[in-house]
Amino acid sequence: MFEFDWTRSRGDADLSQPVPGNLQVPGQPGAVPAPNILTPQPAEEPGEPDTLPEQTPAAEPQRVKRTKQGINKKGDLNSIKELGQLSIPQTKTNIHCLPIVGQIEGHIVLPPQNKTTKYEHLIPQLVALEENPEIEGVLIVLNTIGGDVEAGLAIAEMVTGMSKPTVSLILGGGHSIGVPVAVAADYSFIAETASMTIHPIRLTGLVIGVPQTYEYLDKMQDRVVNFITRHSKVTEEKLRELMFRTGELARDIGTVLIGKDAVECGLINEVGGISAAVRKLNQLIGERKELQGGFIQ
Amino acid sequence: MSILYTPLPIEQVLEGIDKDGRQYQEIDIGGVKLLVEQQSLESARVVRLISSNPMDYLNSKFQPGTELKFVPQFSREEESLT
Repeated sequence: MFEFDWTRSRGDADLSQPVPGNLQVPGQPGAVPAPNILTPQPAEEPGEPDTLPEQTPAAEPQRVKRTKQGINKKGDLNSIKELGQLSIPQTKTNIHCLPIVGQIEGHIVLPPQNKTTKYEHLIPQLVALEENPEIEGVLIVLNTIGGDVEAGLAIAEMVTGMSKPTVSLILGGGHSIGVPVAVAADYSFIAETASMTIHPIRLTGLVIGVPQTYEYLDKMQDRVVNFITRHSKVTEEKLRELMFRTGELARDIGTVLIGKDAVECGLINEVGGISAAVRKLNQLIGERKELQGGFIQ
Repeated sequence: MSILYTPLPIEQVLEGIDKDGRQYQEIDIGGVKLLVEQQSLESARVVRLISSNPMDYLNSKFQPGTELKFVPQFSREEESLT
């Protein structure tokens, strides 16, 4: 276990100013009244100056810090002064979010100039999300440029296999192996400007360990095509037509679908943003609860 | 056996695979996984937060750029105290 310390907030530490954990109490020797440079402070509530000096701060300084007034007034003021931001209260959420960004990294560690999403992070997270009773729904946010076929399909299969409602949202891009991950969710959204590139695997195929034959690549491609057609409304003919269309990509075969194009061909359910995705997820959670409630009774 | 399925050219993805680039470490703090870049023997900077809990991303302590300090400690300290 590591000890850690915030050095960012120690920029111009002035010890005469009140800092968290070292609360100055009026009446105590050495107490300097805090100058109000940043914000006009609300008038002190009557009674407060009488109650505060009665406590013994030398013996138990934590007690002063724990009072509501201490946290609300001094704590917030100090975090504004030192960090320029307010601390946001931690609230529990029943929706967890999986961001899938950059390259989906598989069996080979990619060079560090690639931003990657690693399956060894995502798969245990998905197991934990499935197991944790406090989590009721999962939102998958994609902005991925593709990646390892096996890792992408592994994540997609994990998402499909989950008993909890899942909603995916493509922002920016959901290219190549991002497509099966996006359609794996119970309901999928695409932002109006987001794009999906549908192209054959061998466009930039890297095959290590087996002969790079046409049959082998074709088999791998069938795995992807079958998964997509099983989990979305697009037909196999349509998907293969998009995949091998010539003329749209400058030097290669394939298609770029932007926003509503992906919905029109049946790949994605709806065009929408974060609010639509969260609303849909909450609706699916509600439906699942009703179903479970009826089942138990 | 590994196949990349991406519209990016393969040269771009694998560029620098034979060189040592920036190295990141993963550490766990309070049950949250952080990707950090070690800067010296006793300090590191947060590069990325890996969590599925969206509320963790609001915590200012986990923001990328925050510096962490490692405190040296004798691994056999408990024995010597007794």
